[in-house]
Amino acid sequence: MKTYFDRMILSELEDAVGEKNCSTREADKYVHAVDFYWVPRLWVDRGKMPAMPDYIVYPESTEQVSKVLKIANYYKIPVTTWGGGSGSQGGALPVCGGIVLDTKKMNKVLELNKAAYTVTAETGIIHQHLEWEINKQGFSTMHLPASIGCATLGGFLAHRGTGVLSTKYGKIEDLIVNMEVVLPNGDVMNTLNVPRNAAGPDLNQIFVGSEGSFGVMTKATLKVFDHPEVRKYRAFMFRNMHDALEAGRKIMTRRLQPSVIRMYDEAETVHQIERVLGITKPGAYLVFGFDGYKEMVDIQEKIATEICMETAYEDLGPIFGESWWKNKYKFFFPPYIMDLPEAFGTMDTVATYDKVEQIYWAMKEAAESFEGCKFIAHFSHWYEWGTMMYDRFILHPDYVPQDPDEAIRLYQKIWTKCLRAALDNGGVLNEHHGVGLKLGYMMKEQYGSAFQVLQGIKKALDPNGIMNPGKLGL
Amino acid sequence: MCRQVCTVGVITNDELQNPRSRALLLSSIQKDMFDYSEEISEVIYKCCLCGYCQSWCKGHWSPPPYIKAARADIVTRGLAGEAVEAIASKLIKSGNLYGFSSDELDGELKAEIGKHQGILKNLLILGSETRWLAPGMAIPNMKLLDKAGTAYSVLKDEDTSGFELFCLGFADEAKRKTESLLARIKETKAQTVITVSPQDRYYLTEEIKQMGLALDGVEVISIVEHLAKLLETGALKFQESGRGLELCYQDTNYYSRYCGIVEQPRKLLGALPGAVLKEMLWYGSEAHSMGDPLFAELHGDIADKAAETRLKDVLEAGPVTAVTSSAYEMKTLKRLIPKETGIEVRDLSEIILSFM
Repeated sequence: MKTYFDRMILSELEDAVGEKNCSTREADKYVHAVDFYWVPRLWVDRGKMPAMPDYIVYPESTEQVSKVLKIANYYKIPVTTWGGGSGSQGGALPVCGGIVLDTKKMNKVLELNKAAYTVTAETGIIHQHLEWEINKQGFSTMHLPASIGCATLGGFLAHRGTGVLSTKYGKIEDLIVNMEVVLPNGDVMNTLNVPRNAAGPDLNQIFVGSEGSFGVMTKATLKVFDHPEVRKYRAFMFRNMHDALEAGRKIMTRRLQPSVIRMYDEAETVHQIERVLGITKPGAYLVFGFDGYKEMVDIQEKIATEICMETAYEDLGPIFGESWWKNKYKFFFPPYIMDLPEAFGTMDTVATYDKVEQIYWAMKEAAESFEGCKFIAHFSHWYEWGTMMYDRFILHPDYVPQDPDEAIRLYQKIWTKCLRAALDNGGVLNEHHGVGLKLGYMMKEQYGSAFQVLQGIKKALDPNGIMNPGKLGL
Repeated sequence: MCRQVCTVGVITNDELQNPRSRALLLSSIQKDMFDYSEEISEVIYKCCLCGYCQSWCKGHWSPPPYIKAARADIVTRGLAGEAVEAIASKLIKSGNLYGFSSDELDGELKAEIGKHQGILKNLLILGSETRWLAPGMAIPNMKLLDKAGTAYSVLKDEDTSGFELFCLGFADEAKRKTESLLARIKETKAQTVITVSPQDRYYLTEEIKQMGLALDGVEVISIVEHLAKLLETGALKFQESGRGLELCYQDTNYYSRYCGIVEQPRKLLGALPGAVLKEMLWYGSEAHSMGDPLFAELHGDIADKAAETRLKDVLEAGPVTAVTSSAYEMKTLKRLIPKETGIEVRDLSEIILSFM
């Protein structure tokens, strides 16, 4: 301990959660100081110590979370909530020190309500465990992101996560029914029982996406679904991204309800589709999927196929659709995912159909104005009004400075130029990765005068500014 | 994609206890950001080496070899800690994890071993786990081989193969034990070594290569593989005696994940007249791990929780008899199974023998 005062605070925390659930060990601090954000990973890769917390606590109940927050609020100690540590935005990094509140010991499935089709669980549960548990009884949350094995339910709620089937089943904010939250002053509150009402603004949606800045979500009730009778996938090759984008737009605006549409631009079709699925054709690859009752799926697939074949130059058929589904997570793991020593960033931009292509070209131009930098994108979460662009810049290792300060300086320059290109053309940063440390500095610029609403909520709920400081731009 | 399956991580919910954190710490040690310390040593020795992470890794990484290499570094620096040192010392002195001397071997087993001496085509290596933890399991294995017509000998004073010492990071001591065992195997002139302990099957065919050792000209197979071969050749003849008996096979890490031995025990159980083979939800290379005897000595509380998870899997499979081919797993499951469940745990060889 640095001082007797630190020791006294630790004693209070031990009293709140038990000695076995408190740590100040260096190894514990260190593993809670690096997540999947490129910046801290680069930092430690270059042998430099990251910003570390002072205390780690593992509460086992809502009551214990409440006690921890009361202590932190009294002493004005920063609290950063940590789930699986799989975030890409640095949202769970304890950059101001203080307490890391690790939720993983709050991981019980509390109730599967088979009448209402909901499941209630503690938010520290690894989402895959929740999914496996309800799968045994024939249900699924249909929230199936690539990070399902390492991210927690609370983590998804904190940054508005999404899964591969979001186009039909929705993002996490569409799946939430109600939740329990511990406020920064330690009070425990619940949102209303049902998510659709006219009883004022939706409290669920204030906490979803708040990234631990407004409190700690401790329990959540999500919608669940039956496993579909059939799942069908079909893939097509288009001459270019424009034609494929238009096909996707028509499928969505005609409300065919696909479970998934994924369309890869020409560059990513070469960079990823060729490597993962072995398709060596030029142009843009598009796959769609439908699920549900067979008769309905057959009709949906038929109409969607007709739409695609208006401009596609080849129907790759179900084989290359199914193979995408089978390999859907492979894209996000080595050796297919980009990794150090490359510098890379997933910008995750969302926009209406009328703007998205223009944003794509503006961001591509911005990214590729840097020497050694290339831009690839796929469009992965689709709506009736627009789509999300999983756009990435990749800076070749030869152009990444060895000096970590210089590397981060260049990295931030690329980010800023690309993000401004998106904002200037009507895009929104970010669709499902969250804001965290990475995008916080752009929040005011993005929101304009509307940002004072978020600042006001923050000030009202957390007047001492203890909850996850340095994030969300708050 | 391994956090969700890490045996120790899932049980402890401790951020330090998952492959990501272990890898992060080890890479930081390589970069001189940290040195090995008591707490890092504790993290590294808390891994049960079950290999579940590598079977789920989308990136095809294999964490267990890194853990073993780190343990070797820790031992070299004298930071392994008292508990680890004590286990290593027992292994070096007595040749088993439990510190038993050869005089303490179960009388019935000693007598059975006495009947199997001489120079024969096959050598049966019981393994310290079977010999000392469950001698009652060693005997049916031997009787089954007798009944199936396999001629074999057994070493009277069988020392550890070196496997546990190797896993603990005592590489030199492990090598000495292994060299000694290999020399004794050669003296027997056996053409085939049949292992009873799953760990020994893996160690003697794979891991010893890392120490530059090999059993040239001698085939090493597990008793499960040997029995499956006998079944194929028609050397195992079964009688009707288990109509309606519902069985499920408990895959042990070292067979299913490390050696790919998944189908053989199922073929054997499937051939038993009247027996019905059911599967647990998690089976084969995806079976939940129960750890192993070494891990149980180091972290018995976590090992018991892992076994309880597996019991839950057995219970979910229905009213079944769980069949194992590991002495440690049989003993642990029997100890922890709640009586009211009515679930039985039996050894594979013993159940096969009951049909002959």
